[in-house]
Amino acid sequence: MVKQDRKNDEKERIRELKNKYVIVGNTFAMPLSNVLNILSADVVTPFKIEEWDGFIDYNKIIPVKNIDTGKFVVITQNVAYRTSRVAISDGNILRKETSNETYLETPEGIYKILEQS
Amino acid sequence: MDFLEVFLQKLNEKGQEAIELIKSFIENKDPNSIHEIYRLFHTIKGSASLVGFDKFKQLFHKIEDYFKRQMNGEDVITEDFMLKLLMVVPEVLKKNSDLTDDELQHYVDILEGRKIQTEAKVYVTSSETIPSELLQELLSNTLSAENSLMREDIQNALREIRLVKQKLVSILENTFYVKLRQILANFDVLVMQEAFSNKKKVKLELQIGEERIEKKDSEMLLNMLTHLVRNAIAHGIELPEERTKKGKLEVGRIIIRSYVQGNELFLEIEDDGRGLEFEKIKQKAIEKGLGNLKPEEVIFVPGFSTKDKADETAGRGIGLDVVKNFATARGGDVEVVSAAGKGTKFIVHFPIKTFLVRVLVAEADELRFCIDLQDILEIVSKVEIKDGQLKHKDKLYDITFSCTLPRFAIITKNNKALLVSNLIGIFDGQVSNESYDMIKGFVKNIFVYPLPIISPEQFLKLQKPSEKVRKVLVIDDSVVTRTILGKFLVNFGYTVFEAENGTEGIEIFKKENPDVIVCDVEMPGIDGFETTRRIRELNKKVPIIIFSTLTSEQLSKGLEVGANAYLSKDEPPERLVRLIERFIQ
Repeated sequence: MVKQDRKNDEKERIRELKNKYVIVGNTFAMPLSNVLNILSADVVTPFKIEEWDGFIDYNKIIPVKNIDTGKFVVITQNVAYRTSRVAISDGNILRKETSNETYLETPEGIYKILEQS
Repeated sequence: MDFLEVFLQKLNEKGQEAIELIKSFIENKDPNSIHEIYRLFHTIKGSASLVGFDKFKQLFHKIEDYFKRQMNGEDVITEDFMLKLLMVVPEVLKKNSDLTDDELQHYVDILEGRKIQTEAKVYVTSSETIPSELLQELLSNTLSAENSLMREDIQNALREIRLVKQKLVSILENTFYVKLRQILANFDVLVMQEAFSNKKKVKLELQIGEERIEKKDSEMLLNMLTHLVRNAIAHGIELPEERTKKGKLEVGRIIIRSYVQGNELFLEIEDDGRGLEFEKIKQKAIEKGLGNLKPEEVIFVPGFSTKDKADETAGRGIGLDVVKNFATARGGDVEVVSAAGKGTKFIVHFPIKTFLVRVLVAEADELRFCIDLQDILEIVSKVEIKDGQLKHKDKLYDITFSCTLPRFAIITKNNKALLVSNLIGIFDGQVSNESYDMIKGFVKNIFVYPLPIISPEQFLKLQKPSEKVRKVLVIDDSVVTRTILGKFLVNFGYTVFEAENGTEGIEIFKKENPDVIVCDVEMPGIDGFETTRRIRELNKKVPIIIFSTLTSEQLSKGLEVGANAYLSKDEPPERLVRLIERFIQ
């Protein structure tokens, strides 16, 4: 019985996490499941090239986009974001009819959702 | 080593010896080698019997019998039979157990001409075992390094770690790479068989050095070479009588050559045959709607052939497009050079992968990057700019990259100059091959973050290098200090003015208007503090560095009279240069 309850709790936790979003640099949101890790910015190579501001080694070399020269780097599959502000939040999903873009509505504000990163 | 292992080892040794003698017989037709080959096969038969490999014994008995008959006057050992042996023996040598009934029958059928081996084969053999002695050596080096570090003997620790590095690289290379020479060891057998079946005479010449390729690529490479060599024999090399008529040697020649140039492995496959028929290729290309391509390009288009029907040699599932794909998939390419009546040469080249790369790490403004040492021609420590170009040893180099305060120039192999502000050193690191525009990869292990390896051909940041002469005034009563400091600063590209006392210093300042002043304190006449105060009255901005052996408590006095910084003479002169640069920036 206890085991069954634990299993249900775990399922509930996963369901909740699936609906969570990471707000990066107070500018955009991305599904929590897209975030591989959050590391210190000390491990970022500062090197501006094309649209990138640097690079980080996370199993492979991932380009870094600078948001606000913060001390964290949010790592996703193909891009990393350097920022000082990382928050986890959930809220309503809003869809913009004209562009098919989705937005996360939270008490703090509305953030564009980056589905692919 | 048990009895079976001894047998397999001997089988391999004797078998290889026999293969070499067979090749020699085909080439020279020396009847004396018949007895030698017979003796080797007889030995193999006897040993097989001892280990209970009955089918082996039967096969070699059969082979031995041919030789016996030859020695008894029958003419059964022909070139054809020897070539059949070359199809059978290398395959048999790969076995580590007795033959099956079907295998025995298969080989006997080949020897007796009832079955034709459709494809001549070349085998890749490799061993990947790491000797336990080597692992023990690695442990020993690691312990020595650890204990040296605990004793704070950094030099010895570094030496031991470098030994570990060398050994690990060697293990990795042996695990991942195979020598070209090794995989082409039996390639001449293939050439002999193909030449025989095409009724031609061909000699293979291998000009192969110590080059290696990745083991995973070896089979594909062999397929590619096999295809090119087959093509050369079938379509390139002429029949012996045709060659003689043309005044060529009766025996055609195929050369496989390998060499490394830059960071690329080059493989050349050259024949002295009739060459490519460019007119025919052009015509066929037009018919197929490929008239926009050059003949040298169109032959690599998938499915392209000048023949309407694939002949026996063509159409074996691999075409020249595969050769092209092999090279391009590895970041390389293939070119063809051909002359009518003289021959054809295919040049396949692709970058070599390495486990370590040796790089020069440099800094320029906000950038830190590295350059592969293989891309560097020379490092210049005295930067002299003339008309926006680097002047070095009576030569001018275009500057493709510059920074605010260039102190060093890196001349790359494409004869361009990169101006940087600092060189951190030369390091070995592991390579990560992701590339971005002018970055050709990244080096790990030098800093906590990966360092971009720039591509000198594409690295462009054209800040106009400053041609302004940067002037430093050194005021010091010691001729030794002035001389040493003066020479040092000149080496870093500064123009130096010297004054032996404060009064002279002020006069030179008024006349030359230097960018920075380095001033001693204790001098005859007016001291350094007073000199500083008077110069400050004349100019509020010029940076003044107090350079003295005085204690830091006296620094406050220097700052009060208007100096910008204080540096002890005990500090290395590089620190003074850094300080000067900071002020000039």
